[in-house]
Amino acid sequence: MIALLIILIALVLTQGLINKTRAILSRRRGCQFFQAFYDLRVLMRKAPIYSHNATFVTRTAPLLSLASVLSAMVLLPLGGSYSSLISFSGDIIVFCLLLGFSRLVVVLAALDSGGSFNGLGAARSSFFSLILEPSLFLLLATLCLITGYDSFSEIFASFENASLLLMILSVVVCYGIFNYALVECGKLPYDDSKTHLELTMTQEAMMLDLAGVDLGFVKLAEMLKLAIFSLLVINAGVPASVVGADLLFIAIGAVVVIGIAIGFVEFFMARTRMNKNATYITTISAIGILALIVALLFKSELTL
Amino acid sequence: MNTYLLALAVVPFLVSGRVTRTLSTVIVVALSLLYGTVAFCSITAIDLSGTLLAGLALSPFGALFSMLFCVSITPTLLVGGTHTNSPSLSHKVYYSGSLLLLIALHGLLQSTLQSSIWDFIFYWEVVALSSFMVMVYEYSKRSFFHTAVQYFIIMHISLFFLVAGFLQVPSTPGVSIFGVGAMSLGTWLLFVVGFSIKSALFPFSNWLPRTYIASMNSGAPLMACSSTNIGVFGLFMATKNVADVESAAMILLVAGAISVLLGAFLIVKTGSLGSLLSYSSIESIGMVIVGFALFFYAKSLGYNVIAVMVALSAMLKLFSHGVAKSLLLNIGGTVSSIAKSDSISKLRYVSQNQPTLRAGFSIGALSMSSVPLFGSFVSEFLMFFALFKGVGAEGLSIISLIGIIVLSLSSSSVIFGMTKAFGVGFLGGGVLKELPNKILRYNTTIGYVIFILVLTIGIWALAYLLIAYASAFFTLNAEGISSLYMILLKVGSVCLLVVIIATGLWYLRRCLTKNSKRVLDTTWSCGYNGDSQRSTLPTSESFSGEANELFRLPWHVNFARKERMAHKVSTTRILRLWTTRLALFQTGKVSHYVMHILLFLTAVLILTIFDVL
Repeated sequence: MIALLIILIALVLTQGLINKTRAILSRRRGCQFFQAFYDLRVLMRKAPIYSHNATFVTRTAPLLSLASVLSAMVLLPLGGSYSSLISFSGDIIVFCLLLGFSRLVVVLAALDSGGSFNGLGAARSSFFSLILEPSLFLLLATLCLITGYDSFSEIFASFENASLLLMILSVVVCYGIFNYALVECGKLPYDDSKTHLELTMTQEAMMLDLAGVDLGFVKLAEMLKLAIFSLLVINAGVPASVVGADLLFIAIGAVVVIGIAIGFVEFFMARTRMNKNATYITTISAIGILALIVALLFKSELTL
Repeated sequence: MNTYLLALAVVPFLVSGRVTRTLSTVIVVALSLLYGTVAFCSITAIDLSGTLLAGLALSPFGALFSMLFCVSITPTLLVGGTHTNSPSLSHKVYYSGSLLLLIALHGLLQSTLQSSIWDFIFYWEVVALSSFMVMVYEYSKRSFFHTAVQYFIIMHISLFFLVAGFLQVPSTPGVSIFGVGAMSLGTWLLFVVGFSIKSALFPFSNWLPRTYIASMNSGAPLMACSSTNIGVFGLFMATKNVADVESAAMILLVAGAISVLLGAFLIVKTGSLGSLLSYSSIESIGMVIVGFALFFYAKSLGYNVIAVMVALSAMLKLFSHGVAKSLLLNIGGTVSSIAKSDSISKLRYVSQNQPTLRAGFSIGALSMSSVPLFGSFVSEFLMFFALFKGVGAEGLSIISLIGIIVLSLSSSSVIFGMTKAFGVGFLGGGVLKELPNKILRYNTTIGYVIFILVLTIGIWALAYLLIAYASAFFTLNAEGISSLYMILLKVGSVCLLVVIIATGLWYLRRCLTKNSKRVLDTTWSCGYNGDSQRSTLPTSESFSGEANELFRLPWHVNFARKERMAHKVSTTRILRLWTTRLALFQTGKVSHYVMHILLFLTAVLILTIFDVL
């Protein structure tokens, strides 16, 4: 339950922190801290509008997208002391597959609208997830290799990254997951969610035909994904020996740091050109391979 | 026994009528249930002698494959031949086509019995001939006839290699046609070539795309669900008897992995539905072979749990691929025969007023994409699970690392391909032309029949395999079985959780919007895609645009002429050429360095493997 609480805190804080950081850096007052949630409240009050082309796909996609993200959420623990709601051997694989499913249904909903821009967004998102997919598996396989376990709860309960080698590897894994989160949640430099120009959109282009509650669900799923990845970064970065209140404080502090870090990235980096996005994402997979190869090479020194 | 039952299935064809189709299908389903029972009895030591089922007594593995053939041929029987545009021809084509399918099924079932070499060759010939007849029966283009002839010739090349293999093996009649002793690697290679041609494994997969396109509605489902599977069956049985299992497994592993990557790469690039489905089959069969190869390799190293998991994953993949692909081919073939094109972009004009076809295709596509609750999801989970376990296992680390990359790339490519096929071909409205109102009368039932099959096959077939096979056939102890069963139970519970939460969210949406009226109106993109001739709808080409840009083949990249003409070889020149080629990836400065480090580490890893460092 504590892990879920941290995810909720991350959900509440991250969006506000990103916006506030950007505003402060550009010497603006910026929108309100909880603006994202005010927007969600407005959306939840509106009935969805369906186009004449819409089939069962558009009607079910937002529900399935949010449901799979919520289901993935219950698999994550917080460090070694606060276990997840559901834990079993191989839950890391189910976690990855559920997040993939969440993305797939949104892509199908975009194609269901038949719009050219929606199709553009769907094509881009499908292609980018094609080359992004191996990275998360490789990063998580690295953690499996070091700890010898294949369940989140067991991995993070035994991931004592106090030695220098492990700390370096831990930083590489955290960096990889952080980049993965930026792509998965449509953040800069991969995608600009604030853009008004459809041709440069990726994630937002897929939602152009969604409205009301449906749009609210998809937006919430996206925000939840960012919170989930924040928790994953915390777990991969904090040693297993940190427990209790210390762990809670560090986790909340880390959530704040992650929010500010994304704000910094969004302020200082411009969106990469669309044709360079693929190579940017391939680099994330390269980080995954790098981490796993390093772990394999120094297996005897690293194995816990 | 199965001869009598199949003869019984032929009886309904004597009376023409609507019940014919249903009766023959019911008999084939009954046959599959019988095989299921026989498979269970043969491994739980229940004696069948003296019973009616005595004639069906097979090896556990053979019985399982027989069940697979029967289950996956059922939808083809139910729907085959009904797509033809000429109503007068429809019944004749259907009845003759279905009879040929039953004959092919009979051949396949007899092949798995393995009573003697000559029996095997005879029934192999029956399968090849009936498949050829199914293909030529309703060909619409001359080129399709040529494809059928090519298929027939290729199958005989395969037979030549098999006969050569059998002549090398001293077999004992009634025991196993693959011989009782250990087989040499050379003999095994003859079998591998023969069975790889049949199962469309790399490098013998060229015939499959052509055949799928030529007979998407009749011959292709037969090949997808049965013919290629007999090749896999043969490969498994031959590898089981080879003396040097590790080398054999490694050869199969490489061939399977290349098949997977080739299929995955081509799925992304193609714009034709027939090709897409065939490449997906090449990828799936490759994955099954990888699974079985890993099974033999892990078993030889003593990793029993990993071996069982990959074997189960491969079996499930075979089942779910057979059923889902036959559904996709039936529906795809129906739509493309009416659209008179198998270009994905043109299919939507036919599929617009066919909600049942759309629902059926969506189920098949989701099943192929390994979506939670479907059989292939469990298969993919087991494969990943085994590979994650293998990363830490001595002797399996490198294979598992490569396996994770290959599997994740292939699964996301299949998702990409199926999204393209379903999203572009069956969704999104479009400019409506004159549409046939009733394409398939019987498809209303088939959609739901297959839905149930695909949904449950993952859970039930797996439970069956785990309980029955893991102990007897794959030599796993009771503790291993129960732990695997518990893991799968939890995976199932997470899948169920998704359904429960989605239902809850549906109710929440209903409550939130109960005071406001749901609107069916013009949305944002309708301004761009109204029923206008000028509308620009997503096409398969536009969908794969970004991918085609990245996945350029090496001979499509134009290096500067100056570089090509350079004769001098010096260190600086080599470094410059190297940097120029790396610059093609356009990674930017930081990523460029990361890539260099990565390449360096890979070189170190390779040198370490070969004990150079």
